[in-house]
Amino acid sequence: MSVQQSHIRNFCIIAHIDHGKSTLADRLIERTGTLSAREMNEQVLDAMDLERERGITIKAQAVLLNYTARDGGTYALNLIDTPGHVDFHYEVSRALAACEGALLVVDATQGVQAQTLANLYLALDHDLAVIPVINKIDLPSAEPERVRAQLADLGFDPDEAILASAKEGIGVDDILETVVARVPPPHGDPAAPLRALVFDSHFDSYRGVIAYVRVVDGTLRPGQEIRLFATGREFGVTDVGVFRPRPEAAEALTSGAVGFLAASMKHVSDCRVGDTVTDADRPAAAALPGYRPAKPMVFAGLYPVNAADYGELREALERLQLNDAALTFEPETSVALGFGFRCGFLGLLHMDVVQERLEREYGLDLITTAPSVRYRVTVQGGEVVEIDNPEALPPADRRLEIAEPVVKASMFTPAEHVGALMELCGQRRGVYVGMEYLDPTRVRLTYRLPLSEIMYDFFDQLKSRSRGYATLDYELDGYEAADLVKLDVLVAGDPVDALSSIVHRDAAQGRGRRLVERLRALIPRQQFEVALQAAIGAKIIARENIPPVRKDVLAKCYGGDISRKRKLLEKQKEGKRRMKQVGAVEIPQEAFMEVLKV
Amino acid sequence: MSAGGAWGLYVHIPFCPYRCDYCDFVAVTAGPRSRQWIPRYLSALVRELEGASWEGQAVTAFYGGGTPTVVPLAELHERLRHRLAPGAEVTAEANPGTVDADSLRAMRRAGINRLSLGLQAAQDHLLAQVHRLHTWDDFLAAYRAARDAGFDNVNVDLMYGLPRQSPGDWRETLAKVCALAPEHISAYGLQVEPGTLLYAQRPPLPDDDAQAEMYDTARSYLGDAGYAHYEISNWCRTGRECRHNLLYWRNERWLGLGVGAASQDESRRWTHAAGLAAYCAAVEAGKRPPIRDQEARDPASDILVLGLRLSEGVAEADVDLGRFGQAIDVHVGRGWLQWRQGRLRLTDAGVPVANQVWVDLL
Repeated sequence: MSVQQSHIRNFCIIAHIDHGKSTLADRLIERTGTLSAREMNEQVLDAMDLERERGITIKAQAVLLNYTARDGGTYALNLIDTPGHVDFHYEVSRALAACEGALLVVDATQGVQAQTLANLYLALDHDLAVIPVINKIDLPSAEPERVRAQLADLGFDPDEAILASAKEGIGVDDILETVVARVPPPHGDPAAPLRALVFDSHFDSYRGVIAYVRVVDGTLRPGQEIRLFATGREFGVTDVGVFRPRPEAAEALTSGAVGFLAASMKHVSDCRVGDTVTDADRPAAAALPGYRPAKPMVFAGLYPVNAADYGELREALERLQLNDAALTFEPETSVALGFGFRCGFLGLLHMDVVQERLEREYGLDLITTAPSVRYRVTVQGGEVVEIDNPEALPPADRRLEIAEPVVKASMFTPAEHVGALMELCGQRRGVYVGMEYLDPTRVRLTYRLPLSEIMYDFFDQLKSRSRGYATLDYELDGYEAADLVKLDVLVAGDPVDALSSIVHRDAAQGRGRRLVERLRALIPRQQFEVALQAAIGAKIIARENIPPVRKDVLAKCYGGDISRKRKLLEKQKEGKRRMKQVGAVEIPQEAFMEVLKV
Repeated sequence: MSAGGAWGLYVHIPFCPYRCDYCDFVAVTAGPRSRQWIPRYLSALVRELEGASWEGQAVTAFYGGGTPTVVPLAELHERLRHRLAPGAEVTAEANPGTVDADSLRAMRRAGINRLSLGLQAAQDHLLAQVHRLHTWDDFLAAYRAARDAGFDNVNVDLMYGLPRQSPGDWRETLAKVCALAPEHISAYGLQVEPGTLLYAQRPPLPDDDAQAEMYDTARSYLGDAGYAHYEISNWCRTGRECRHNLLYWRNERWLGLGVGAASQDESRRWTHAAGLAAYCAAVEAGKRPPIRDQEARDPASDILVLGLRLSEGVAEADVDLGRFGQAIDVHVGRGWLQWRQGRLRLTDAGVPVANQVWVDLL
C-alpha cells in the first residue's frame, strides 16, 4: 500500500450501544463498493456469532474503503471498529490511538448518552477530529434539534452535525465527504525507523497471530524482521495486507496505513494490544505511548462438572487464550468442586463470553463460582498479599486490613432520576464525587464505588431505577480499605468452599439469610434432610433445612408410550448430570453463581 | 423377553366429550365436527390392522383414549377380534356418563371382558374442579350397570393430588371404592403437564409431601383391603393383574393402532403422529400411518426401567451387571433396591422415589 499519506483518512465510529454504529459501518462499506449489498452479511464487522447474538462488538477490526471524493481524488479510508462495552475501555483507547478522526454517532431519539460522552472524551484525549452524526432521523420520534442543542452544549458547532439515517442510507455521502474534508491525514515520517501500533489481534490456526496495526512511521513489509517493544520478541513478517473486509495481501504498509501483519506468532500475548512493532535491524528509539498490559479485574473458578473433563478444560482455555490476551488462568483446587482453574477476566461480560464459548464451542459442562475481585490483604508483619479467591483469605486473627479495588463510575441520567441513582450508589457503598448538569435536564453523576458492588446487577439496577435511561462507564481507581468478612456456607454441616464470598460486615447478615433461602429453593431434595447454614467464622448467622425427597416417580405409562417415559427420565438425568456431588449432596450448577446474586 | 411369542393390541380412540383439565393425551373433543370423523377413523383402524404384518394372534387387547365409549365400541371390536387369541383379555376404558346398560351389554357380547372405569375421586366438588363431566352417582350407576352386563373384571381409575383434595377426601375415595370390591384399582398421582389447562391455571395443588402422604395412604389402605400392590400405580385381587399392562412392564411386544398410538416390536419402538386427517389418509392409501417418533430399543435398560415397576422385579439373569452393577450397588446401599430370591426389586422406600433409581439405569 503506497497511497500518499495526504490521501489516507483513519477514523472510527463511536456511539452508545444501539445508536446505529454497525448499521452505519455497513452503509459505508456498501456505498464505497467495498462489498455489494448482496455480499453484505448484515453487520460484517461483528465477526463472531456470539457477538452478533449479544449485539456487541468485542474484537476491533479495520476495513479499507476506497472512495473517490467530489474533489476528484481517490482516498483510502480506514474504518476502525471499536468495542462498545465498559469492560473493554482499554481496547477502545488503542483503537482510537490508531485514528485521526471519529464519527460521533448519536441516536436522534435518545440523544447523548453516558457512553457517547465517555467515548467522546476519550477521542478528544487522543486529539481526534470529531464529526457529529445525528442518526435515525427517519424515526417518527426523532428529535434532531434537541440533539443538536445537546451537541452545542458539548462544544460542537450545531450546524456541523450531519443528519443521517444509516438504515435508510440518508446522509452517507455527506459523511464520507466530511471524513475526507475534516479528518486530518496522517503525518508520520516514511523515512524514519518503523513504528506501528498494534490495536487488535486474533489467532488464526493457519497463519498464527494476525495483528491489526496502524503504521505510524516507516514501512512494514514481508520478509522484514520485526521486534515487539513490550515483549522484546522478534519475528519474521510472512504477510502484510488490508481488510476489504476480507484480508487481501499487500506489498507493504507504509506510514499512515492501517492493515494486518502475520509473522508466525503463536500466541496473542506475543503481540499485545497497544504494543509497538519496530524493525529489529533498525529499531525506533522509543515505543508509541499508551501501552498497558491487559489486566483482569474479575476472577472466578471454572470447574468441569465431570472431573474427567479437566484436561479438556485446560486445552480449551489454552486455545481461547491464544486469542484473548486478557484471559488468565491457573490451576486451583476446591474441596467441594475438585480440580479446576482460577480464571481472570476484564469484567463480567468477558467472563460470560468465555464461559459460553467453553460450553458451546468445546461442549464442556462447567460450574462457575461466584466471581471475586482481587483484594489486597495486609497481614501481621505488614506484608501485603493479593487474593482473588475467598478461600485464600488469611484468618481474621492474622490480618490487619483488607483493601478492595474501587472504580470511578460516571453515570449519565435524566435529572429526575438523580435521587434514585444516588440512593442506589449509597446502598452499594458508593462515595459521591460530583454532579454536573450538561443541560437543565441531563446530569452526569460521578461516584467512587467498590468494584465488587457493581460487578453483578448494578447495571440492571441502574437501568430499572432510571426507566432505562441512565448509562454507566467506569474505570479502575485504586484500592480502599474496608470492613470486609468472609461469609461461608455449610451444606449438611460441611463448609463448601466454592460458596464462600467476601462481603462487607454490615451486609453479611442479610446476605447470609438470603443466600441460604435461595439455596434452599435451588438444591433439589435429597435422600435425607439437608441443613444449610451461613456463617462468619464459627458463628452461624442463618439456617434453612431442605426436607428429604418423598415422592419422585412417574405414575402412568399411557398406552405403552415407553419412549415418552424414557425421554422424561433422560431429561431428569440430564439435570442430574449438571449437578455437582459435594459430599453426599447434589448441588446444581446455578447454585454457585447465586452467591453473587443475593 | 419378546422374541416371537405373545403380543398385545392397543387401539387408540382419540375422541372425548370434553377435555379434562389435567389431560395431555392425544384426544379431540367430540363436537359435531369431530363426530363426522368417527366412522372414517374406525374403518381406518380396521385397515391398519389388516395391513400389519404381525404374525399370530394377540393375547390381549386394550381400547384406550380419549374416551373409547363415545364410539360404537362393540361394533369396532367385532371387526377387530379375529386377530385375538381365544381367551384374550380385552379391556375398554370407559367414563361414567358415556355408557349405559345397553352399550355395556353390547360390548360384553362382542367379547370385551374387562372394563376400566375412570372415577378419579368420589367427591363431586373435586370432579367438577377438574371438569370431569360425571358425579359419584353417575359412576355408581355405570359400575352397577357393568356388573349387571356381566363384567366380572373391572378396574377403577383414581387420582390423588388433585386441586384442593384433602387427605380425608382421598381416604374417603379409597373406602367407597373398596366397598364396591372391584377386581383392580389404579391410583395415579396427578402430574401437571405443560400444555394442559391445569398447567396454565395453577390452582392450589397438594405439595409433594401431601402427595407422598396420599400415596402412603393408598398403599396401606389397599393392602389392608386385600389388594396386592403389583405395580407402582396398580393394585389387584389375586390373579387379576392387567395382562395387557404386564406386556409393557415385562418388555414384550405390542401393536398400537390409531393416532398417537405407541408400538414396540423386537427391535424398535415407534409412536404415531397425532393428526386424524393425515392418519386416515395414509391408511386409506394403503400406507403406514405417519410416525412422530421412533427409536431403537435398549433392552438391557428397558428391562430394568420397566420391570422394576412391578413388585416381582427383574430376574438376575436379565440384569446387565456389567453395565448397571455399580449403579445398582449404590441404590442397594441407599436402601432403594434389594436383591431377593434371585430377583432385583424396588424396596418399599424405593417405590415412591423410583425415578431417582431409574435415571441411573438409562
